[in-house]
Amino acid sequence: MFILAAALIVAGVALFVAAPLGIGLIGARAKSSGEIQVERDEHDRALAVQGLRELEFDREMGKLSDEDYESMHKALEDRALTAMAAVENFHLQTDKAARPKKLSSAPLTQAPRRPAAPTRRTGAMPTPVAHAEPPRPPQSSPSPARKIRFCSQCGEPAAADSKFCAQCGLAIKPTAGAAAWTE
Amino acid sequence: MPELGNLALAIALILAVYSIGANIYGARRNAPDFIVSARHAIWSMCAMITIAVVVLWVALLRSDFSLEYVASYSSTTLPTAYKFTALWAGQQGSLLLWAWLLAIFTSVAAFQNRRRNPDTAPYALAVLAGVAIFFLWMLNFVTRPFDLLAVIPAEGTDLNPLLQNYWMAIHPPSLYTGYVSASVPFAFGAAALITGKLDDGWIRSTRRWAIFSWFFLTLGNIFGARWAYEVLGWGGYWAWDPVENAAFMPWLVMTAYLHSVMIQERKDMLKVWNLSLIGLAFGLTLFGTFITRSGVISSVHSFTQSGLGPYFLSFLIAVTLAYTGLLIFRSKQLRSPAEFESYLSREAAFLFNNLILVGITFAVFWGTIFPVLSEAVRGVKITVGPPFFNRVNAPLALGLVFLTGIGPLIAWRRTTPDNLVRSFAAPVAIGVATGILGAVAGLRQWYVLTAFSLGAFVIGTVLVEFRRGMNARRHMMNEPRAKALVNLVAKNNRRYGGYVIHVGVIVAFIGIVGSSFFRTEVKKSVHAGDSFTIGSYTLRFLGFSEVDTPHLASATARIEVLGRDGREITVMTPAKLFYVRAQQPATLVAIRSTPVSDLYVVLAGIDDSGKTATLEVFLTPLVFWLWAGGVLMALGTVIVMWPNVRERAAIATVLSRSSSDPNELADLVGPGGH
Amino acid sequence: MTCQCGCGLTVANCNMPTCGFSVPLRAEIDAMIRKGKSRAQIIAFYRHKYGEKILSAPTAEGFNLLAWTMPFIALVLGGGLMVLVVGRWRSNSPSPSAPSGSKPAGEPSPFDPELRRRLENELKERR
Repeated sequence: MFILAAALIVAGVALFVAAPLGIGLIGARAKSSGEIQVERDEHDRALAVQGLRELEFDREMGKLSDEDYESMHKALEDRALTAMAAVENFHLQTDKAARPKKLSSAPLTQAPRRPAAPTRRTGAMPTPVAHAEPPRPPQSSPSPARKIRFCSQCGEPAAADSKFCAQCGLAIKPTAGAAAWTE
Repeated sequence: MPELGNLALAIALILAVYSIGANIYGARRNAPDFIVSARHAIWSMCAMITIAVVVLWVALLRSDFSLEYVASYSSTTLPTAYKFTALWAGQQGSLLLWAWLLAIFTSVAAFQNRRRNPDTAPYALAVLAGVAIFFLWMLNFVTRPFDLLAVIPAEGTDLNPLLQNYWMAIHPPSLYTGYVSASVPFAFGAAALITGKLDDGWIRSTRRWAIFSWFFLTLGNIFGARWAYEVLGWGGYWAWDPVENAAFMPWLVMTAYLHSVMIQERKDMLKVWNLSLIGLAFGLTLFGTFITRSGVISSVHSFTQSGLGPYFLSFLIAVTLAYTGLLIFRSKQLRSPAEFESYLSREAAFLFNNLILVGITFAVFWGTIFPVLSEAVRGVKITVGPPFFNRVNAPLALGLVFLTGIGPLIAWRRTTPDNLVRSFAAPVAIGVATGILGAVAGLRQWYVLTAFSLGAFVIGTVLVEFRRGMNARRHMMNEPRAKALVNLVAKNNRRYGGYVIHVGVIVAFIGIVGSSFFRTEVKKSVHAGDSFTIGSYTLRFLGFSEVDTPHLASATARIEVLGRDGREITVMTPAKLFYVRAQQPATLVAIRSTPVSDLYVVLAGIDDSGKTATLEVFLTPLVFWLWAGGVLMALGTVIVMWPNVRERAAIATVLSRSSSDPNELADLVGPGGH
Repeated sequence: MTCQCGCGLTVANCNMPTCGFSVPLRAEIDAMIRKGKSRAQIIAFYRHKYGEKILSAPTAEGFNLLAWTMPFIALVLGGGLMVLVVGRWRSNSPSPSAPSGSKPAGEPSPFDPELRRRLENELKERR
């Protein structure tokens, strides 16, 4: 009785652990230096934006003199804008570069939700399956639905103000975008 | 059944080893199938340890005395609830609980990081699995919970009477939860060092873990103090015992860490410092266990002493060396362009706060190990007891309280002195007024006066913060008062939850000061009918009642408590207990708690004739506020951890903005909060 | 004075009713006080009898002085180090007394107005 239970447990665990092996998941490609830089810029922007918000808050709370506020506000704003410009620049360039690939990316519409899903790929295509799959669609939270648009071709969510889909390069019509942003 | 437990623990150990290998191989060779497999191994490991825990619980509940552990820590007459908590009464069980919690947290971390942090998560999980290996190794080879007895006893030795108390039922699990969850931020910090991804990603992805850990460390400490207060029966709650210190030190370091990461999150500086702090916090949790288990330093609470010391010490040294090595190895990359504009800034306040918190940690650590040091250097055994800790830490505590008041009122980066003066005017007035009031009321000790004034000052600053925030909202959003207040807290929950915690700390501090300085004590032997007074109370001893059960014999004294006007307030019933199985006496104290003072009655002795009772009565002012402060701290932490509306919106915005790696970017922007 | 029964509390606080150490000791001390011995005399007596471990805090002499001073020495050292490091940080950050000297206000910004609008919107949105 015990031996049976033991065997069952061992077998179950072994199966569960070994199951994902060798089903041909392809790892993430290494990030290009440009992408690493853009991440840094995004980070920098986030820090500056946070700093700006706090600055605003501190001023409302009467902790800052107008003079200090002005000088710090200017410095932070410059930082944020510099970073934003760099990011924007990068996206413009990659959008151009990504455009010709749009046909090969088409299957992504059915991209796997779980990494464990047995999708076989041949490695030639630089699509990071394990971690950079499409973000969860917005059903989890109601409000973003109005802000995020999806590329009509590959289903990739796109920023409301970007002109091209970053995944497949298809042009996105700039319809309700601006409105969504200021909402 | 015990075989099943042993088997499960053995499999868990193998799985932990495998998950390290698979994680590292997967990360280095870019083979996600191995990383997924490692994740499955971690989940299976958790399942295995769960099986072991369940097996032990079942054995305890069924009083299966063929197990040495069950025979040593329970008996057939032990109430069922305490059979359940006997899981962590002994050493093997506590290690099992530790391993179990670690496995659960590791599994949760693995789940959270299925897609997030693809670069660092495998390494972090490998580090966590490494820690798990240590505990599983102990459980498999050194201190096995499922060892059998050659001769099965008819009855168990029973649980230590001191542990048969509901606070003891919840204190160890909370403390362990706090200890163990600190290893998640630690693991991610180590992973950042290993991979060289040294931005604040590791901090942001483990921020909730750090707060969670702090929350349970706080609860663990408070529960422990409350247990000592109710059970040990000496009228106090904290004796600076090595085990208490061991629980207190990680709390101090986590507090420092939670403050200093705010600087890194904003300005990308203090990288080395934050990594060191989290390493220190983790090391201190191990050190705490080392002290408790090793018997190097004797302690009231060492219910589970044994020869585990060398193992823990080796592990501690290995971890310290490896982590320090990593820090040195990455020291060049950790250098960051630091900006620091002025000493009149929130950053500066946080730096001083860190200095003092780490200073207190050091003082506590120093006092804890000094007896060992003295014996090694001079060969003389000495005791470092409460007078030492109180005297050394008292001034430091005042400094900390002062900073608690200053910090929130200063802006980030720099503050204009004029504005500072304006912000401080009202709180300082409140503080000074309190001081004068206290002096008029007859307080003479300078420490008490300073402590009360500073406490009032801090509460004043928090009130000012709330009021100003509310007014700002009212003007900008045109909201009515109440709504503005609610929104203020809801939308800036980290900041205002933090203030609530601050108030809790101050309230607890006031309670500590009041109860340490003004405790009065009366010891009397009385016959039935005798009465005596303490403070404004008159106590009359009415007589005994006795109860005998197979588990417990007790003699309860009935004492009538009269107020100054001679009216009866209440009847208190302190008791002496005798645990039959363990052949141990214990006392059951009676406490009447009011915000002003606690009346605490101990039945210290009954003479042989059974007529006279020796009563020890303590009147402890303000101790009520220590527990109230604890509740406030917990409440504040819940506010801080509450999911923020803004947080979700921020993540959604980033999702819409970025296509490369949405989740990672969500971490970067993070739950903004001010 | 520390109780030697292993409870870690002081003799006065140890309330194990059967404590073989603190109960007789308290009686002994009471007797000595009645005989008119001073506090210092009593403490010296017990220190001689049991050694230094009976005292609940280290004496302020010799090696034990280290116990008392070390926390404060560490604090001062730490504080000194902090001031030193902060001093270095301050020297490589812009002086607060000369804010935005290089960029007078009103100078047309080199940034895309579209970006600026987006930044402002974002700041407004997260209130």
